[in-house]
Amino acid sequence: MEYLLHIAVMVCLYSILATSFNLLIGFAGLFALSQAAFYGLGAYTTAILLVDVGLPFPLPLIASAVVGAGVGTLLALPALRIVGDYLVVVTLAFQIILVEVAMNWTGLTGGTDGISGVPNYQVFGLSLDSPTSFLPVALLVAALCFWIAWRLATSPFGRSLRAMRENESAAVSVGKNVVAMKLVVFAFSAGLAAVAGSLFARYFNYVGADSFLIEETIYILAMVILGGAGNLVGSVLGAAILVILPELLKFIALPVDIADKSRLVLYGLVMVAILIYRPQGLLGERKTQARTRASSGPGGGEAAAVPLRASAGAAARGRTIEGRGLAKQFGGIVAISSLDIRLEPGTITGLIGPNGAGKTTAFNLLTGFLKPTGGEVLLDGSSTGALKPYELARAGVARSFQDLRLFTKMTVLENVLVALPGQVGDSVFSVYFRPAAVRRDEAANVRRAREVLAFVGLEEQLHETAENLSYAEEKLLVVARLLATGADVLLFDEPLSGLDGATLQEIFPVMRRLAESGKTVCIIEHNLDVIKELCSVVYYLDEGHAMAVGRPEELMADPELAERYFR
Amino acid sequence: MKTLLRPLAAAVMSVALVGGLAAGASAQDNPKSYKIGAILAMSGKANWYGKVMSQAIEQAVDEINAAGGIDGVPLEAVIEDHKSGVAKEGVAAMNRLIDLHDVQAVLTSFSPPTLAIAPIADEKGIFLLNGGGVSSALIGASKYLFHNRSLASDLGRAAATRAHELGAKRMAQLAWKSDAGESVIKAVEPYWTGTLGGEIVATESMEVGATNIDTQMAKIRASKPDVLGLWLFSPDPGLAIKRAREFGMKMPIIGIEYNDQIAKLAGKYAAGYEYTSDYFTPAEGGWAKKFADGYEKRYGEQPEFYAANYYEGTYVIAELMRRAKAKGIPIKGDKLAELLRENPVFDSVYGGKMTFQDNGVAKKRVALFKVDDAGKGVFQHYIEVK
Repeated sequence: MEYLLHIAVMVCLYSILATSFNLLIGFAGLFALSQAAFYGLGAYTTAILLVDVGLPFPLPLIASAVVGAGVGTLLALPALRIVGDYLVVVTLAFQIILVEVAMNWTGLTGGTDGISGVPNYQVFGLSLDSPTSFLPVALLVAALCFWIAWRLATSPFGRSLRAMRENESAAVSVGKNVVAMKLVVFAFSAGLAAVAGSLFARYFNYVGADSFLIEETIYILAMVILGGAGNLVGSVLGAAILVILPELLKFIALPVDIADKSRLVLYGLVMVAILIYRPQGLLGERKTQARTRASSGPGGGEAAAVPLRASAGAAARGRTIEGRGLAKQFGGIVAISSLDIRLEPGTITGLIGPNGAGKTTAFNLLTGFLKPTGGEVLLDGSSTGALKPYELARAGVARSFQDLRLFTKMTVLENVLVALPGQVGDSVFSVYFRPAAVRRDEAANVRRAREVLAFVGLEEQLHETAENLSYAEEKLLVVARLLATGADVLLFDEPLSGLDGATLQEIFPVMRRLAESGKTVCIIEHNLDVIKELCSVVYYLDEGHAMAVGRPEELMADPELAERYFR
Repeated sequence: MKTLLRPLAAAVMSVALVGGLAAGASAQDNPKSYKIGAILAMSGKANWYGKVMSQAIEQAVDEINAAGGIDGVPLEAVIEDHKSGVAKEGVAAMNRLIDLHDVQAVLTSFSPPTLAIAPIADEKGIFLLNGGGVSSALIGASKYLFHNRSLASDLGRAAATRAHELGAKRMAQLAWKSDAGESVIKAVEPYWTGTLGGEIVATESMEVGATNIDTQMAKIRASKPDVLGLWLFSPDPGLAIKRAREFGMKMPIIGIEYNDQIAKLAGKYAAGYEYTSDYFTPAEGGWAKKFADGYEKRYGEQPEFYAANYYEGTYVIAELMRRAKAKGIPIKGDKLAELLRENPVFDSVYGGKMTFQDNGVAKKRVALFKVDDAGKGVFQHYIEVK
């Protein structure tokens, strides 16, 4: 019986590790390879504090969580600037370094001998020194850790994490502070893994570096992938299967000398088969459809098309954004030079020009995605130079991207929800300590998001995943997402390209109503019919600067421009 | 979700059922067999150890059963895998052995899993016998843990004694980055620089199974030692000997292990290599020869001393079980330990008797060998550590 309970304890430990790792990989999209290092860090912290210092319960457990979270945050600092392969390299290096330190800092960690004799938990004089007595503690801590991870993942903060995973720059463009989000999720993931490490030390009474090698990180990663990245229940299932399966294979009688090697092969085959038939993992990413439906509450039913001012919230403040003498060089290449541009409220300004003229670069400069090498950007007369892109978005300047950058694995509703500003649930403190306020705010946000979607005519696709939308619907969703930011300055990068005439006729009124509501709208567009239909002012950009400014018909009548562009 | 959980639950229940049945059967007063467990490196990068140890255990069990078992009850070995030294795998294996097979005695190997299962042995009263792990941290890890292998620290000090005999003063050492390698460094350094008055001029470490140690060799050569100590285990001394000679180092090389694998890796450079070891040789005749012949007949190769230790260990446990039955006391791990302490003298497959000391380590002769031009280790003499 104790054998079965031992397996259950191991499932608990690995459930914590897999769910915490899933926060990082499945939700935040940060492919880090150092989970076993944090696991080990927690184990060593508890072992050292118990064996060398003799701290009483629960201080070693808390200390492990704090040390894990702290080191996780420190590790995230260099990771803030890097993604993809480089993040893998940095975290892999950390994993290796930690093991090396554990094996070499003999005075602290016991070196290769490790630390043995870690005391068991004592409850009312009873020593929890067997799987039977330890299991309740393991279950309790695993449940608590799961709740912590679950609460974070299903909160508006978790939604923002998934948006960051889908497209970091798009998340920034709707005002998400991805740097802070990365720090927080690293801290949570590492802290929870360290808690598992603390349990490990207490359960095994022995901590050695061999238990926290890169192979262990890969093992945990396999649990996440098997269960389904982005699904915490899947992580628990993945942990249970990968812990139990090898034990079940033990019951296949094989010759002694090849038994365990053969079981490893069988184990691998089972894994391969599962991933062939369920590449998204056993459970796949959880949809939040039901929750958002439920939380829409009274008045959150199918929203009728609503007037712009109501939907966009947009008692627009009438804001002007201006670029003065803007210049941007990439090495020896001049992308923008001496560009003066002024976008007025209540008007739709067009940016036209041939490919490579600098239109998108101008957007990047106005929205802070690029820092100018000359000139400045002013919002209502104040320089925006010190503002980061997400701060500028929060200050009221939002943009879309030529390649849309939707959060493709998220629903239409979530794409809009994530862009709503000032959400109570974006604060981790509120997620855990003000749940009622988060719920109320979320219900209101769902209503707002539905209004915005009704405004652009996407109310029917509310729970559709963005990747399943038609191209025209994707374009509308881009508009909706931008509207949801509540920004007064809206910069659209080719929002209407590739759409047929009928669809354009559906979108034109939307764009016009935005301007009528007092918003400052700017579009980059190649379709001159669209320009003529929508814009009251047009900048003609070529070779990085504005060659002409005026009303569309004026520019199109210019013989030189006609020769260069309109022909 | 439910459809996934259902077969999983059924599988777990199956395990429970099998476990329950196993425990039930073993609880009988007259068991069909006495089971002993072994937790070995049956997979992973060091699986060679598991192979030779398990082979020797199987041979010993077959011989004991052919001779009537434990007073008519056959002995049965249950081999478990710690995946080349992973602590948690050792604990899982220990739990399986206790729960599913009700074993009371376990042959263990490698230091991390042995250290991890030691508390379980203490709690459950399970007799442990280690014939492979060499870390000094193992001493005293459990009151039921015994060792029938000379620990690496003893072998290292013996090797240092030999280096001193050769007149060396400046020692460079290359050790495994493991508990085993480090425990030798810990034992040798104070002995060499204190008791023997030598100097350590370089200390380098290498990963277990590393294939490139040129950086370490370059540093060792630069330190100009007059003896090189290899605190490595199979098969890594082979590579170290080969690279040291290829780097042009001509000083004596002395280590603490040598076998066919090492010989194969070292090739022609093995000649002249000296090493200290538990001295197992079929040339002792008697039981040693019988074991070696039987082993070669079964597996087509000469036994290593690791095989000898686990073969011998199986006999030690069988003898303790017999003593328990003779006294009419139950065959329980804690009782086996008591019986061993009561009379710590056992026949040794190495020849003669071995005696378990108060620290749980069997006192064996440490011998010096020198590899000849044919690549064979030739016994030189026994070494007495100062």
